Amino acid sequence: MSERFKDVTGLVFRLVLAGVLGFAGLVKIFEADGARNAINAYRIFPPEWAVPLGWALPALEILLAILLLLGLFTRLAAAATGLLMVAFIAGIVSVWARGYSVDCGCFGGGGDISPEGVGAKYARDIARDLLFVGMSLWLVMRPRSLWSLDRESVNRAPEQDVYPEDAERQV
Amino acid sequence: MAQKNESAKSTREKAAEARAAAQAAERRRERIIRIVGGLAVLAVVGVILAIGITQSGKDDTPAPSADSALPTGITAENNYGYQVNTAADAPNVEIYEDFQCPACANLENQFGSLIQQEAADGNIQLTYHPMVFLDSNLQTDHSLRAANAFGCAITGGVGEEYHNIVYANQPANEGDGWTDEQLKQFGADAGLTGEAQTAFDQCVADGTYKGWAQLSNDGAFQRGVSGTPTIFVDGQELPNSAFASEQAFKDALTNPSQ
Repeated sequence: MSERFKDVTGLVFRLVLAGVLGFAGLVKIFEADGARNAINAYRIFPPEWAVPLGWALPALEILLAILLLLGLFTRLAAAATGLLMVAFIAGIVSVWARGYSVDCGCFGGGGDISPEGVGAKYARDIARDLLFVGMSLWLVMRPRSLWSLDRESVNRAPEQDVYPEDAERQV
Repeated sequence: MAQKNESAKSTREKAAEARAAAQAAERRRERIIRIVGGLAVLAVVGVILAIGITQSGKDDTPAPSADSALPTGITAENNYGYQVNTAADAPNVEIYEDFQCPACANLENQFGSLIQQEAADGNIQLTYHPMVFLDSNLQTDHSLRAANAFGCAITGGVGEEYHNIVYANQPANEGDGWTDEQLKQFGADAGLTGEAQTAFDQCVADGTYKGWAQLSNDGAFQRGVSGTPTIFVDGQELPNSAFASEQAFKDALTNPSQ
């Protein structure tokens, strides 16, 4: 893979993750009732946490979405996104294992649903989130990408020579 | 020869210095971008969050508060539920339903009359808690208007009948809901006539008990109810196995300890 191709791949992953997180966050923030209901349906947090979490989760999603869109703090944002996705997967596995039928509430909606075909839905949600984890991992390992606000040196150790070939050119 | 070497060395040194200076400038520029960019992003998220919170306050019209009008007989003590009967020492059955929820209509269709019969016989205490959360999922206001009309019917003394009629007339397609005219007609169907009917129609049109419907809904969320129908018997949520047969359901209601 050429470096250029990798840079473009990084950009595509950034934009996909930013789009997914941004959409999910905006839907939740403007449908706060639904988000609360979705959080309650997982039966993981005590009910009184639903209100603060119902605001905090979409705020975090939108924050990460903007950072990824701009390519600012890419490595940090990608790491947080990956961890968030892992947490979502854990939540789905948890409700699945405990035998509840819920809508994941990933993009609005949420709450209890009919148990019919819910296994396939869980599997699909987990597969989708795994895909996002993969994209996040790529950006954690190689945060450099096209059209990013992060400068070259952000993504390398400070003592590393940033432009090894420049010295020759300047002479 | 030696001189040439020296001069070459100094060129290299200069190059290294220039490079170091360029790197330092680059790092400064980068730091500025990160600080300014980071703050700008935080500000944008803050604004979006503020808009979301303000918007959500607007949805609840009228805003539920301790001052919201409550249907006759309903108090905050009972979590704003509609208590059909009070049979001392009988199991306390609390039903959380949204008028738009198809699974609730199934429950009513299957066990609704059994539940009300047990209450009438004094074998259980029965409380209905309307919820309106499906409105936000379905982008409608049918749940809220139906719950409001239910409140009007409670004040009119025909709460139980009205509740049954709304479920019997639930549209086949979830989200289609009812018109205000339908909700008023259900009041007549429930047996309201004359002045009581006029007051009921006015109450439906005014949305007198929308605040109460929100209070009941919020109370349900605070209790951790996340889906409908949810039934509590003496504070315990009924498991799925309780719905397997009529006998199992009856036992679960009337003998919760077993």
